[in-house]
Amino acid sequence: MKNKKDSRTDIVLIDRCVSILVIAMGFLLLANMEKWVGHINMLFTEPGSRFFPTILAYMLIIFGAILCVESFAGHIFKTKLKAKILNMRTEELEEKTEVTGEQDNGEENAGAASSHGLKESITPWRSYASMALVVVYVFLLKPVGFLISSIVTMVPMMALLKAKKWWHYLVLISLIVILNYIFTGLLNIRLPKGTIF
Amino acid sequence: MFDTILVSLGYVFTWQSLLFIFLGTSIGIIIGAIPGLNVLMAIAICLPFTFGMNSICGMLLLLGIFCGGTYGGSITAILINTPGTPAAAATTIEGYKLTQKGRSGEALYMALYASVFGGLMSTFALILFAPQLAKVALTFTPAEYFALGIFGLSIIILASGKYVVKGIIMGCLGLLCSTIGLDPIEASTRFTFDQTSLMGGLQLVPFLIGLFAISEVINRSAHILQGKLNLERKDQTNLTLRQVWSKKYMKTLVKSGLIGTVIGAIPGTGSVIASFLSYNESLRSSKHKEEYGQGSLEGVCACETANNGATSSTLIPMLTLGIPGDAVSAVLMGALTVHNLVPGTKLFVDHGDIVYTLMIGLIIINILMGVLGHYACKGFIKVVDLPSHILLPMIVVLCVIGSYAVGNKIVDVQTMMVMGVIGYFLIRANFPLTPLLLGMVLGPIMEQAFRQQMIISKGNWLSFLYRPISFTFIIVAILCICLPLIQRFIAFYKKYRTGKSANN
Repeated sequence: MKNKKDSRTDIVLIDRCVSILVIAMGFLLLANMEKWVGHINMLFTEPGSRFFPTILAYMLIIFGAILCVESFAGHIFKTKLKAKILNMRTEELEEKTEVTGEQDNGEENAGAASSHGLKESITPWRSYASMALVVVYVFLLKPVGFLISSIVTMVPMMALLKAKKWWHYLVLISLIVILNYIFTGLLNIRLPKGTIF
Repeated sequence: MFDTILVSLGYVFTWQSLLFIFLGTSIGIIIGAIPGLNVLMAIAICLPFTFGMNSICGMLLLLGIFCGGTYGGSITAILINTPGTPAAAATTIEGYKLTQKGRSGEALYMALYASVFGGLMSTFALILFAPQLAKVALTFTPAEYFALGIFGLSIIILASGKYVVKGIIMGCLGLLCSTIGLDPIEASTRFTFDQTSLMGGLQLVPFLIGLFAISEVINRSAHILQGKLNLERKDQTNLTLRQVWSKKYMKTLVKSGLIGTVIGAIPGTGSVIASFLSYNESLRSSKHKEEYGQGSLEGVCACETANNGATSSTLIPMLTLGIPGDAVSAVLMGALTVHNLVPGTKLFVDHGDIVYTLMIGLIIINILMGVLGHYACKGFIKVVDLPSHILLPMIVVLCVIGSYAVGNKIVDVQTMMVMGVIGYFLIRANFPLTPLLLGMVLGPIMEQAFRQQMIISKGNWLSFLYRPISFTFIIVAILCICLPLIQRFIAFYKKYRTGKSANN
């Protein structure tokens, strides 16, 4: 598992990428404003339909730039500042420790946390897999309809989420069928029927 | 008037009326709790059934659905980060954090009793001050609407926590999303890329469901803890009515109830805006600001009091002037007309007994909502105990149904999917989601009001400051934006000074 410092570096890196994306988006909007936003050139309608999007594009550029500066310069400045504060606190702590003879025991805390006996497994690939299943689900809706697409994609999702008992799968499939009946049969709410079948 | 009220009491306390109140409130709570199925849809489904009933029973059924549904939305918002109705979107901010801390019971009961308080306050306002409130509501010009929007957006600074710049970027993106579709003044197309399905703009419900629910499902997939959602486990302590309606929360309850009542009475606003504005105000004036964003009962209280506070007051312009404030009151107005009750001033003269019956019915509905909710909450709490491999796929299925049912369009489901994926990456990159939603909710009102005011004032930018209500809103918004930034700068400077002196 990544440590705290690594994840912080990741966030800074993401911030830099996002800020550049946001700035690019702002410029892209400004460059294509005439193409993407229609406008009726009449005086009484001023400020026209392009006014708000233009203001927002400028704001994206400005705040994207601020985020960019913050992630580059701010990170260095904050790191230095935190190091200073940390040094100061360590010195204070050392002074206190000398007086009381007590020591912080980080391992003890970690032990306490795991004493609940709950082991968490964080697996980001599972997120990407479930994201892919959701995307497939949405794209299957139109051709095969609600019922089939729900079963075809949600059963693998259950497997992905470590469902082991067979009757859990049965519960999910039954719930999907019941929901389909309630909405289409009882409430008369239309759900995608599919074009293939 | 006293005689009329006595007659109305007789109408309400018949077994038929009470049965339909019970049915309506129960249906409303259930429909509200299903993500994507909103109050409007439930009322529209049940409307044909009321044609064969007498006017009182039919209207009480619909009003029960309206109030119950507005409360019901908070249940899934708190438990699974999926607002059942758009009005409960603000509740997710604090409600789900409380669930993650193992305090879902407290959050659910807070939402329930706050909703009852808001609903009752709004109903009493409807009974006592309907004509006056209608007059106040009609004084709102585009300048006030725009200022209201600016005030609502000022929450971004407070709600973004440490990530103010990211919050502002998200707010801008939300506002940008709200501009997709036909322009509100010129009707020219914006960012539709020649797709007719985008001409109506992005629908709020799929946007909301994707942003909160789908992103959370994707995110939660990676955090498997012994087959259940990775939530802290605590012995659930439930709040009692006395604890919620106590001195501790009374200020928030009254203030949020007032905000809900007034905002609800203004045509074109509604409970979504009321709950966000109330959350903003409670955050601004709270003594425990540090709790906000980490799971604050006060925050849940503010949102829920306001969104239910807007229910009865939404009926004020409809009943007194015949002006429906939003889509729900327009459908209710249609239902009244079907029963030969034409809304407007004459309604109080010609059918005063029926109007007061509906008002007293609203009181009963809110009380019954409290009773039903009290027992139902015990069952709702157990939702988070369901195995995650059943719960998460079921949330996805319900989200798909909810998004599709809004307009029977695949594009809405696609919007939900896109927002879910974007939301997931935004969560990973520590971008706050609330500003994105705020921009999306307030954008249309703000833009339209701004441009209308510019047309009315012939391009005078200062015209927003000439009217007292809009002036006040703008000044408060500026204070809300500037004060936290100044406080943060002072704190940062102090830290810097301390670090520097330590180094020397």
